[in-house]
Amino acid sequence: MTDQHEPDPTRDLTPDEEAHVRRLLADARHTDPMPGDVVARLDRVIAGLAEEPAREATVVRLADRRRRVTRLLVAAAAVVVVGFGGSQVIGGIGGMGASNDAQVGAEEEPAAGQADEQAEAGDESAEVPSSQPNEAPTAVPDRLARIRPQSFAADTQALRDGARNYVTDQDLQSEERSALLDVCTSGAWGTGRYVAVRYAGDPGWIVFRRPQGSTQVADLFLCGSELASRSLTLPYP
Amino acid sequence: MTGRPDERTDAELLAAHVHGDSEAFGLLFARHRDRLWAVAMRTMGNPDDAADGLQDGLIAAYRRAGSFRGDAQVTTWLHRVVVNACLDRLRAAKVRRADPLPDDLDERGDRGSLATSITVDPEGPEDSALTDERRRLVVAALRRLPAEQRAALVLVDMEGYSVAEAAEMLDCAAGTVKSRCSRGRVRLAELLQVLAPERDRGHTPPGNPSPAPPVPSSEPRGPPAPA
Repeated sequence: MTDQHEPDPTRDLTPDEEAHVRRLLADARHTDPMPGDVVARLDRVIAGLAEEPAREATVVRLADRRRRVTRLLVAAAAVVVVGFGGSQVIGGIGGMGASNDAQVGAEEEPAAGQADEQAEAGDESAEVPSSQPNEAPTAVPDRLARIRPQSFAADTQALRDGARNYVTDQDLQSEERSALLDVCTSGAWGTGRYVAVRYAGDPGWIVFRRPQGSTQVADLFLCGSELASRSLTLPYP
Repeated sequence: MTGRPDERTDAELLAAHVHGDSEAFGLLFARHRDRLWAVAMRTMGNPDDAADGLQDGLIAAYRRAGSFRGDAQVTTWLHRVVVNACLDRLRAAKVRRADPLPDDLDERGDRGSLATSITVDPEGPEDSALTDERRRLVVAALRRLPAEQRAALVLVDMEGYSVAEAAEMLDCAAGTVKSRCSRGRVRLAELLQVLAPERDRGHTPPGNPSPAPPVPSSEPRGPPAPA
């Protein structure tokens, strides 16, 4: 006896059966409006996003990209020199460990006054994000971390959480470091934690944004593009 | 977020957003959010995951608005971004999941997220209860489909988009959408046999068939008749 609930993928439905299934699906359409709490949450997200361009526009000029990349290099090296050991850098980059919590917390939801302050003070710091250890590409991946398009979310989360896979740039061979920074010069992509990746074979950067409550946005920027190719909201911490 | 009416088209709102209008994206999203919510709800299967998927899509759309080239309708593009964000989440969840999905729907429903998606019509007449139960079973069965098949069915059979529009939203060929829909319907038909039309009204109750009538005997049984 065969199990009548065992699907037979090779079987075609009769027109009547197909119509019936389609009718059932149509009847099961979700018709309730978006709940108020979700509306409020997404409105907050949009409001948060709307703050970003103003901040970034103030501090980033496309003409300065080349200079910024140079500073990025210098700052990244400086961070390594001032004593971020390999494991410490690793913890800071991916794990959002305890040592970063205060800093991350301090970044969250700045008050209006703070935002202005940040915008002003950010002329240099955001232009050269690496001057702040929390936002700097203080370490680069052991060769480029691979992000697969079909598992973008999982790979990106693993990239953030699996920090011990990464090493400081001192551990990279010079040609690798050179290739990474030559090919993947970061664009005017705003502040965040930059991790160089290879996405579907193309080099780029994942930028982990400042956590907002229980979530953190990660953006993928491919080299040569001003726009995020993909974005993702990760649970945080 | 203000809800003031805005007569600009979707494309105009998106263009305004790209050019720095800080309110334009919110207005555009508010215009389409209920339908996007419906898609996210049925694709993700429960409100919490739907909200997360929708938020991912929202952020992606916000940041990538400049890449919109106008070769599709804005609403199609929005759906595409949201559906892909939902699918990303589903794939990530699948990777993270250490234990496989149980085969038994009730077991899955007991885990909470599915249960929270079941709504009860407070009006409560019998027909409404029957409809609710039917919808619950359809939604539960839908969740057992592979994510890509589910998304195709949500767009085509639930939301009423054409195969071509769904293909654009899912970033695949129309033939692929047809194939996913077809396979998904077969699977649903199998899973939803309890809902087959002949069983809806005046049907033979499920269970073993009634026992056959006794075979007539040529000789009478029982004690012999008194002479």
